[in-house]
Amino acid sequence: MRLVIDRRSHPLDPDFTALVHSASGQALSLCYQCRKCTAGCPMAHAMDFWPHKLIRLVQLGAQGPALRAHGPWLCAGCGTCSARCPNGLDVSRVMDAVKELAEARGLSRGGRARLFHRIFLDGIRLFGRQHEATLLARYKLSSGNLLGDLVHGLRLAIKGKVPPLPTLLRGRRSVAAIFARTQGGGEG
Amino acid sequence: MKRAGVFICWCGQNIAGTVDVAAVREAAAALPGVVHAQDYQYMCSEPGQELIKAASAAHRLDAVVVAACSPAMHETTFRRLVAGCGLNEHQCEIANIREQCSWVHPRGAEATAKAKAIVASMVAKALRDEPLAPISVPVSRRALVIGAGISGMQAALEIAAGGYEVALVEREPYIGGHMTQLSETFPTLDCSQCILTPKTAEVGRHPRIELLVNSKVTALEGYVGNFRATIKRTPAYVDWSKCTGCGLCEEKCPTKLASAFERGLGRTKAISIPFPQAVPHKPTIAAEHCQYLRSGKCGICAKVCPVGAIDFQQGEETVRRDVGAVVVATGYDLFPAAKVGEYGYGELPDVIDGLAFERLNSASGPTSGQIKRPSDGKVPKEVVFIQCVGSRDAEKGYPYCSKICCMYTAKHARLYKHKVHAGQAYVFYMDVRAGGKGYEEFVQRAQEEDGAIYLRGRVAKVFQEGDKVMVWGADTLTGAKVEVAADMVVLATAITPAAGAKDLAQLLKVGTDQYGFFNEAHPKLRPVESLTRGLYLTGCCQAPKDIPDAVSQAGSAASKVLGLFAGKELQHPPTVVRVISEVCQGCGLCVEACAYQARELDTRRKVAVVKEVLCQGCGACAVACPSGATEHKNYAKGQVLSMIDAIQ
Repeated sequence: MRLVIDRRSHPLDPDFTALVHSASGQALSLCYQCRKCTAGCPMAHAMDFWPHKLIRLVQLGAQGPALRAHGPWLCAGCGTCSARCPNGLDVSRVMDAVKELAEARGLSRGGRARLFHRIFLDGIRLFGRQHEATLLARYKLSSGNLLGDLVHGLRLAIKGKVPPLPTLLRGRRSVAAIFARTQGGGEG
Repeated sequence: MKRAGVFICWCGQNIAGTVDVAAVREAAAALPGVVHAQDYQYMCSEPGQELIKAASAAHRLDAVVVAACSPAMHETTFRRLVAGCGLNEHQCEIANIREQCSWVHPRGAEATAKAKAIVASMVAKALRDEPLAPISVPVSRRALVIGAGISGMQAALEIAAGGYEVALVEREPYIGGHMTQLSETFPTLDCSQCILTPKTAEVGRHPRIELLVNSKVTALEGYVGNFRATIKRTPAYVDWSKCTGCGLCEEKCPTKLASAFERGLGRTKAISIPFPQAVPHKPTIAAEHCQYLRSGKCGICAKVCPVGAIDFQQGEETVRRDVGAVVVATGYDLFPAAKVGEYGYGELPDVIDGLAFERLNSASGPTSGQIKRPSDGKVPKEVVFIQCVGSRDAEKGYPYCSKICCMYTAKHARLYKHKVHAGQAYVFYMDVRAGGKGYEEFVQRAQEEDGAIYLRGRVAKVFQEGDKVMVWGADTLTGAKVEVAADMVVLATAITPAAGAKDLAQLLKVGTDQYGFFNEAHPKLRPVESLTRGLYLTGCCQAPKDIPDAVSQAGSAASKVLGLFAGKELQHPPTVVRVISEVCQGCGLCVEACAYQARELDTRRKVAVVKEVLCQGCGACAVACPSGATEHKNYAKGQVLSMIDAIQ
């Protein structure tokens, strides 16, 4: 069987389904496409493949379209989909697994969202908890988008939401160990 | 003068919200003959019924008019009540001031005026009603069951278990219907023959079931309790009383032909026993294929038969049976899949229908249960199942859902995977409708355990490319178009009424819907009764259904028959016509007017007579009678005129 998307024919690879299954820990065969994840997703309006469609691509083993999708990069990780799934699937973990696999295979089309994702994760690796000021500074410098969201940033700073110094978490070494364990293949 | 009581129901706000019930009560009380009038919120409630009971005793009523809902709703309720008060039930009349008044007239003043007129009219009728006693009809306590599929067999077995005789008519040479063709059954995957043969065997040897195979009902006369069925039996050209079922005739017969039982995938002979477990286990000669019957040459079967059972002289036999009730269980046929030209059925050898797949999968089938595709006998590595072929297709004339295809397709996908482990099944569907105990779980297991890929979307096109059958469709869940290079395609075709069902319906005088499924008397509350009394429906002749539903409906139809047979006599409503023979001129116009064969001319006395049990009280003859000799009981001419006069 082949899937034809945008006039391009894609072969299907059942191994890809198994790979995402093991990377996310989610048995995707349980999904019966009720589409409740998409219905509640706050980012769906901006995605090329909605959450249920992404799951469907993975179910069918459509590796190329799934890994090239930019939908997962827009996932805010709010977990609404996971909370509402009638089959108990953690959809946001599937999103994460797809992102990591796309990264590992160099197929990622995340753009700035991908950059933010990397800096975000790196921040957690460093401090064990996100430090907003470092995150903002690194992202602004890397993306070159220095003035974007300036008003939001000022408002947050006034409210004291952007502490100048990072807190050094006691368990930060354990967090770093998790990163070390999972780094590379993006699996697990 | 009679003493009438009028009881006006509010029906909550249904009537009282529009009609001024107090005004209707006052108007009723002033009518001649009315000695009591009363209104109440819910006349059908227990306190409401008590009011009627008390008033009837207190005012010595001999006519009761209840102004309420349609007589179709509560006429029986109030007539039974009145009968319990010492009146004759036919002296209770219903004035319909709901369906024919409050519900259809929004303005109160008009509705109230009309309600008054309706009540006055019914009072006039009630005052002239005469007491009538029901007509008793004797019952032939034998049932006729038409069709010996799973539903018909079940009905026959249950009626026979109740102690009554059954004539079971089947047009095929064997019983068991389509279930004999199935390999396994959903949702338990138990072998169809294994669960069926105990039933066919029991039917075959039951002392109270008369099995008439190779037979068709050609006429049904009479009425409930007293039908006479004419059954034509086509010859088997084998004397079954001599035949031992050894099968030698079939072995030696030189004429091979495609087997309809095997859906054309296997071959049979001109003389054959259709399958190993067939009941009766006797051969039948297909006259249109037999060389001897066509040209007088051959006769090998007669030569080899060790008991001399072959009888080419056998002719059609006509059997008549007097029966009290009829159960119709004529089952289904499959939609002719060739009508969907884009799927290539009938042109591409590896595009088959669901029943053919059952045969491929069946241990007694043409491949001994191995999944091999028809064109070259290869084991198919990828099989596409297409649902809703014909079903839900208004353009093809079948807008309904055939109900069982989602389940049997899931079953097919699973059975295929169980036999071809490396195989891949694809199922194209529009919706999966798996309502039933264990059904949804079964479909899920087809996907989770047996890896069937379900693709939501109708297939656009099926065509041959080399030795592959190409299937073009869409997976609407991803929005992608789909191409499958399949080895075989199985079409889940719509269920249609059995061939000839419409003719049978005409013969039995039962209605069918626009597709030819028999009409039940009420879709919810009388699902196994037809509108003809004594004629019941079961199985797929009424609507597409699965085996559990067909079996439970059979039980329900059987219980109706048993209920009918439990009484010594049947009661026929007495509201029929009578003839004043002194006035009748014997012109016979009433005989022509009657649609129920209830009127006859007594040629000796030269007067028309009424066969009361056949009379449905329609009144057509009373209208046709030029001399006024025919009179409808409790709708006599004077009575109807008084009803009209009462409307001011």
